[in-house]
Amino acid sequence: METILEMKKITKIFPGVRALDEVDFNLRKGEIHALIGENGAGKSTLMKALLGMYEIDGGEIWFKGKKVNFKGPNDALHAGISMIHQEISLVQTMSAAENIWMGRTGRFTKMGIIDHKQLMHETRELCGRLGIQIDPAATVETLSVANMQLVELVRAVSYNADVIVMDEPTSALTDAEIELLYKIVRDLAAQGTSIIFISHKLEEIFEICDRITIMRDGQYIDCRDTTDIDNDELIKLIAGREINNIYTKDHFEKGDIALEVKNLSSTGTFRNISFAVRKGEILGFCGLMGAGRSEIMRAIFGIDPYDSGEILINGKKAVIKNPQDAIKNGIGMVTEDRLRQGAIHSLDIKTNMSLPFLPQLSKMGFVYDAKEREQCEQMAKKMSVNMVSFANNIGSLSGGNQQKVIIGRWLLMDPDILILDEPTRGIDVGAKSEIYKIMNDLAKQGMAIIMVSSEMPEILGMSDRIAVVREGEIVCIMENEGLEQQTLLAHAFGVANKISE
Amino acid sequence: MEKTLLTKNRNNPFANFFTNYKCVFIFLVIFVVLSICSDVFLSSRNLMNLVRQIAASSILGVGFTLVVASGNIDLSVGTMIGMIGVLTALLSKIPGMPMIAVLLVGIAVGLGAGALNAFFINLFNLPSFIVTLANMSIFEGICYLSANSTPVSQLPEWYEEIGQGYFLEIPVPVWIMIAVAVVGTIIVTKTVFGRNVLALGGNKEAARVCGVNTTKVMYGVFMMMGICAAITAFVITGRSASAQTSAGQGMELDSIAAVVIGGTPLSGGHGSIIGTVVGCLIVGSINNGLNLLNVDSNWQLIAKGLLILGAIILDAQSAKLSAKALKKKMA
Repeated sequence: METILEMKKITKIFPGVRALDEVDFNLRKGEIHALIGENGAGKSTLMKALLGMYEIDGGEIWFKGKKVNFKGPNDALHAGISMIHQEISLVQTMSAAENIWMGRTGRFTKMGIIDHKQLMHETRELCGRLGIQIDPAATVETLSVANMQLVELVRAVSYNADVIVMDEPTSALTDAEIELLYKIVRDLAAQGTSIIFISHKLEEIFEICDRITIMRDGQYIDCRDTTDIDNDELIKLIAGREINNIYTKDHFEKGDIALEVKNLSSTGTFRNISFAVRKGEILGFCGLMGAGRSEIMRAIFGIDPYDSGEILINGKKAVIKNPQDAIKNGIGMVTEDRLRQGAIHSLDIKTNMSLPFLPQLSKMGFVYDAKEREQCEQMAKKMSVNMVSFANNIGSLSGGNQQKVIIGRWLLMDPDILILDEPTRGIDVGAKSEIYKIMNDLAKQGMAIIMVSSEMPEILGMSDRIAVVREGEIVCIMENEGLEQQTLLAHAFGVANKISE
Repeated sequence: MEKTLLTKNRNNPFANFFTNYKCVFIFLVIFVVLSICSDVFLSSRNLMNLVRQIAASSILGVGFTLVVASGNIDLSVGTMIGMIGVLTALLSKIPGMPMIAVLLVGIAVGLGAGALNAFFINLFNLPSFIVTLANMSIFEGICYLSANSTPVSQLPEWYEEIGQGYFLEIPVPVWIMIAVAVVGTIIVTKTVFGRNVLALGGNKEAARVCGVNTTKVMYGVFMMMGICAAITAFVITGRSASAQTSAGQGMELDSIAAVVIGGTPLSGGHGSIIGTVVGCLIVGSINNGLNLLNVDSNWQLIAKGLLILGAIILDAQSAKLSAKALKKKMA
């Protein structure tokens, strides 16, 4: 079979990180090709490089026998590559048909006026051909999320593209709709369209894909025929690396239960969440992106509301309706999204650090400047924050140092329970190792720590016990003794039983 | 990203000083130019006149700085001033009504009006722009209804004192302005509330996660704005010895201009009370100077508009330059 798309030694460097390191990828005409890897393995980056959303720092892209360098998604689209993004990218207030033909309504216009009849007619015909039942005149915001995704699919197909990239296309679909999607994808492939299929669901990949390219840490690992590989081996290839010694982990007696969560539920987000964490214990939470880990933590900390269940702190029922309540109950939380929910970029380092602790650093509403400075300086030293001056904006620090300031922010109040959501995302190995050391010290002093992380080695390296979350539920909570990455991944992917069989 | 007043440039203390106090430089340039162009400008009588003119807008600007620093806007303050002016004027004409009662009622109305703004913003999670736009109209209606659409004049003597009197040879409004600006500066720089305002304006989500009660802060900001509007109303009403129904109209827009010229970004997260006062001085000197130079009042409007544009372009450009310098330094 002829190759339609070839990416050779693609390299993309972000400040401090090699996001893509000489990645190879090739796609044949009419094949369904899976792209798989852990969160942050570089799949999305590779696709963005293909579509010209990122400028690549090395390598070549060959499409239909010609070397190409797309300037953006639009450019790629005209050349014949369309993409269905994971996030819905439709104009909510316009009709399905208008969205599908967005930017191309010229073909339906007569003297500058859109012939709506013709527009609807062609859309209905296209949907009918694909077997999708959507009213082309319906406003997008009135459609279900699944139907929105199908509109995206119709749009991608309407370009008659040679290559369609699908990023997690089934994440919002029901089983029946997934069947329909499979059929459409297979038909397209039979007609000669090539599909790049990004998915976390292994069963799905085995069901419809011809070949699988595996990525890990921004590197190309392997490319295999689907018939040539089994679940077990695939997971091994996805997980791969050995755990090295950047982790500091001492073992000691754990204390009483500090935080217990019973049957916590939030409709549509997570269900029946129950777990307990002891003083001095680090409880790791792993799972795939979107499994609901962060949402659970946000509910416990009072950022988002929950529907039912209870939270017990030191054995007593606690009412946590907002972060203030959580803080009063001795909980601190480092949120996942440093940019949106962590750092306040208009303020300096000291002000960022002292914010949750200000009530204790003030009297009658007035801040004790000297006390604030002294306490923050001590904390910065303890966290070894590398900075020029306290009066600089937090934005002047590197990601790792910003994170240390934000962790320090919570340590000022000396919490009993500390929730860390992706504490080391986007920071370099050195800073990571320092954060692990701090976590270990805190646990030794009796703090109960919950760590949510997408990085399996980190979870395995630091946790006493590990909870795996999948599709809004805790699948299992295991002692971290002799656990392997494959086991965790298998639970997270929902194929644990198949492996043990 | 570095669109902030306190962007530091460690290598160049002068550039650093300039970026932080741009508005002071703009003011000095305007001051010198006007002194050369008009021989009356520098006279002590004119300068006294100038500060008296800007007193009212500065008092309002203090409250507005808090509002903008918290990431909000308040379009209702103009008509709020008119409303409070008329209500207190009517009240003051009741025989035997003590001054303190009138002023307290005025302040209470300001607090209530501010709380009303915050209430709708909080409860329905609406943008402050649209809530205060609606309340602007409501306050205007209340103002005209209670005044029967005619100015309220023949006020008691004490009311005129507030706007026209002198204390230690300095106009009373200027004393009030200084007091309000000092209190405002202390609130922004020294209190937990001030920190919370800046945190709210800088990153609402992060502030909430850090335990800042954003609802309460929102009430605080808009109620303080209400107090400032009430005090402004006293000064304006006293100055003209009558409560005009249209008294505060347009002042909200002048305030926005002064606040932004003074270095408080419209996106929030920062606030400089001193900057706003200097911003008011800039706008006031231009008006005053153009009057002295006998420029047609219609041309004055155009000049004011150009000045605001110029000041904001300068601000954006210098922020871009310092961001570039920072990037270079880090690279």
